[in-house]
Amino acid sequence: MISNLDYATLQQLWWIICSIVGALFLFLTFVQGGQTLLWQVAKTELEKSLVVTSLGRKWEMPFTTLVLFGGALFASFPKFYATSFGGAYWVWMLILFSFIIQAVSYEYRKKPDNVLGSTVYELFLFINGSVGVLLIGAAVGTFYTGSNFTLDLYNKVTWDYTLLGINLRGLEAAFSLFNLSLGIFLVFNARVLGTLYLLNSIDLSSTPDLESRLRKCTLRNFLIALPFLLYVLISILFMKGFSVDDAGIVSLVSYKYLSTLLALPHLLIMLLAGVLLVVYGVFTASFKGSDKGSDKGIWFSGFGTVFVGLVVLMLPAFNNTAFYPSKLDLQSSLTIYNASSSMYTLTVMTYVAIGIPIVLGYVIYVWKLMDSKKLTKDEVTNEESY
Amino acid sequence: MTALMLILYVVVIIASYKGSIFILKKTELL
Amino acid sequence: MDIDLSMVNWARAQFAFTAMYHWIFVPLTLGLSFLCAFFESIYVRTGNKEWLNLTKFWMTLFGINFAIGVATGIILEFQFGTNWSNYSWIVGDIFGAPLAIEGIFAFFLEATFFAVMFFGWNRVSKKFHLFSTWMVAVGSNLSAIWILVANGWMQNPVGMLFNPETARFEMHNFAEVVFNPVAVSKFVHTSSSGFLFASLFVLTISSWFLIKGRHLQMAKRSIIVASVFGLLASSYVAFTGDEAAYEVAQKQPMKLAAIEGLYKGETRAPIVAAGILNPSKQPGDDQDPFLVEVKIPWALSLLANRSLDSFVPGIDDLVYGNKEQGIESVASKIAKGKKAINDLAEFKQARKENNNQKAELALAQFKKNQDYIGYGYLDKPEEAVPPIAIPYYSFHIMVALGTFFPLLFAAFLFYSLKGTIAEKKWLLPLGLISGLLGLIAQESGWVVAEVGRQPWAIYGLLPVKISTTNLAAVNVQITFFMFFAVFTLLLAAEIKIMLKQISIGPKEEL
Repeated sequence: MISNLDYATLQQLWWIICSIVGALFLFLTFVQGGQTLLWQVAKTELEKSLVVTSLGRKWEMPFTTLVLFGGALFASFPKFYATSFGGAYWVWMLILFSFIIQAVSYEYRKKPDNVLGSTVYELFLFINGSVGVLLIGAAVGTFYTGSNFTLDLYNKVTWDYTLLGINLRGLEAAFSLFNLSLGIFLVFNARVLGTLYLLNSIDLSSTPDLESRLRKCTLRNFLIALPFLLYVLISILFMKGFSVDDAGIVSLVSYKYLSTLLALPHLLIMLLAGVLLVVYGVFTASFKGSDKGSDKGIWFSGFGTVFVGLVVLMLPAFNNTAFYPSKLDLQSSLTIYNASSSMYTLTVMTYVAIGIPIVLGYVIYVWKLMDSKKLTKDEVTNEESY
Repeated sequence: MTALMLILYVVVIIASYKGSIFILKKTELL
Repeated sequence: MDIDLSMVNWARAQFAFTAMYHWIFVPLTLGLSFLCAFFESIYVRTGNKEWLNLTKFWMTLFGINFAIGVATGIILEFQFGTNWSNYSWIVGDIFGAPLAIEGIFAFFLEATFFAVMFFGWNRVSKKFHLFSTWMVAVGSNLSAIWILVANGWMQNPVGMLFNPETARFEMHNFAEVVFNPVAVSKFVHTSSSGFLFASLFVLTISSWFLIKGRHLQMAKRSIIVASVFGLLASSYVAFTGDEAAYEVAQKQPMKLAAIEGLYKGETRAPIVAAGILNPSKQPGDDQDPFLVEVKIPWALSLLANRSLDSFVPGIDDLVYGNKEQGIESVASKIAKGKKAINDLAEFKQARKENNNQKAELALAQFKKNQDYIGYGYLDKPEEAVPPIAIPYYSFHIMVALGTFFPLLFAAFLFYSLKGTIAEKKWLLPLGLISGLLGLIAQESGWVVAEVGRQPWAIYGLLPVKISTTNLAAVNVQITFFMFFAVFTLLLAAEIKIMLKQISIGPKEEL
């Protein structure tokens, strides 16, 4: 059956797969969110240990998913991989640095003789959760707002955005209110998810202060995130989009993304469902006293985030839209049809992708196994902990 | 040659484990 | 075409630096993961808590190393795009797939079961925990397969065709790419070299404990397991190393000539067992390549081609051609390559103008010389020669050390069996420095592989100098120093943390 799929279907399928990986990454940024909350919610060494150990058991999940996101894009849309990473050099370098410093921080934070001291490692975690997520959001924003590149006849990318004589190579994404808002929304959404995950995974009976701080933070961070989300969603409805006609010519078209939502109503439904799920998760966590669901918020908001993420990633790519548009030279814009791998490669990768549900299966199995009991005070004092 | 190398790769791993047990027993360190 | 050589060199320096840093930690992960699996299996088998403490000690060191291995790895996944975007576009259709597969299968296996290995002691059953430890070992080594399929394809590009419409290479046969003999021999050689290195690491630390008279039983036990693994692994490393070198001789003759310092090819060629290169020797001149050398007659023909009377080409043959042996000169290849570049440009222009007749003609011309298109970018024949001294010395150091290691493991095993290992005042210091020697051998191996393939990013097809991103050199200089600073800082932290954990030592049952 896979060998019978036509090229266009394969290209669409692979953008969907990449979007799923990207959306799952956004769910997993609860780790990053928890990292930026550390100093706010944890006031004692015990509380810190509980938070860091709980996050530490999952820290590799978003990290590995991000690496997979890069690899999947390289394999399925190499022209995008080359153009975006080579073009927006500084955005990606800074994102990567924020993840490099995160990778060692859990392991090294409390180890004796760690050279930098635990506060510096906690700062690394903070930077990863804030700068890292913000820049990823800004980078995704450029799917809507466009970037400043040209591709020559051989697809070699030239990136041109100079400020005061310096080529910013992608950092200019942060100058756009839309991109910045998307980035800020993701940072605060990550914090919401972070509180929800911690409420779910830690036995808070011995640390009631930690619990109340977490619940307050859930609502507070959601309320901060909301205006940025609304700004992004409303902008999407009203902004011009980079439409591709049958001859492959790219032009700016009014209400492009709105028309896509209307043409593909399942995206609109997923978007609304996602937002509602996020809200519901926040609701069940913020108001203690509801006996069921006060620690299950992560699942509602988490799945909600996945749905919203899927729509944000798929919307700019379907309905004849250029997903990586160039403001500088419209005709250099990338579509899923002109930036993908060959039909052979996409077919091979589709067979490989059969393994993805199996991977998801054991990840979920192990997650359930490891999280079946909440993390207790005894565990972080007597056993291996971060 | 490819097949031989891959088979021997697995053999090295298994033989190392079994060999260790054998020598640990011999030296009464098991 | 405009090539910014400064940017190219900084990009090469950055990739080499980040890759070599990553390679300090990866081999330890590859091998120590299996050693931990062995240790824990013995614990489960015997039920003896001493083995649990031993396992947890080595696992603590494993965790410290694993974190920085991961930290130094993420940049490599994305560096192809950031600094080598031309390369990424031209070969991405083939190269991207193994990287994605590495992510899907290997990284998630490692990451998921690592959490169980570290935090699951009291959350999962004994059996499942042991299974998880084995899964970390399997996952880590599985990643090696895919990245070596990718690198193997750089060294011996197979299973693809060049598509002039898109001016890129496109995959044609996935099985050929995966079972590329260069990739397979590289994988088993590299992975087992990790087994070897981890065994040396355990030997080093255990020797220290014996010298200090601490944790004697734990050290003796660790030595036995590591020596068995090390002895078998180092023998296997030699066996697969021979196979890998044979593949180099077949597919990358210039690299073979470089690691041997062979300028004038011959039949029944001797191998240089040891020697000092003449630093002023140039291709084509009459100087002796060596100031002093020790040769073993006939050995190179035997090892490189597995045939005593075979001709092993030297650098001069490969650069200037050798009519008798049917070797084309680089100058001739460059001329054909330049023609191919022009024909491709004409083809693309004709397509742009929608002139199909002109396009067909240009395409037909292009196809005659398309295999040489990479050569068309070289400025002179001597550019096809990689640096000689670096691969030569690295190779000889690696082989010399590789010969020493099995002897070391055998000695440790011998005295362990006799029960006198703790008293061997001459052997223990050798064990103590063996970890560092192993690291030198590890890095040397990769230096041979990557410096030896210059000037090619894809051997014979895509030169390094046109593979980079269109990026001003200053950007790469800045990121180079950023990496240098961060990685060095993290390395210092890792070493100090490890030394402290070693001095704390394993938990001892009282």
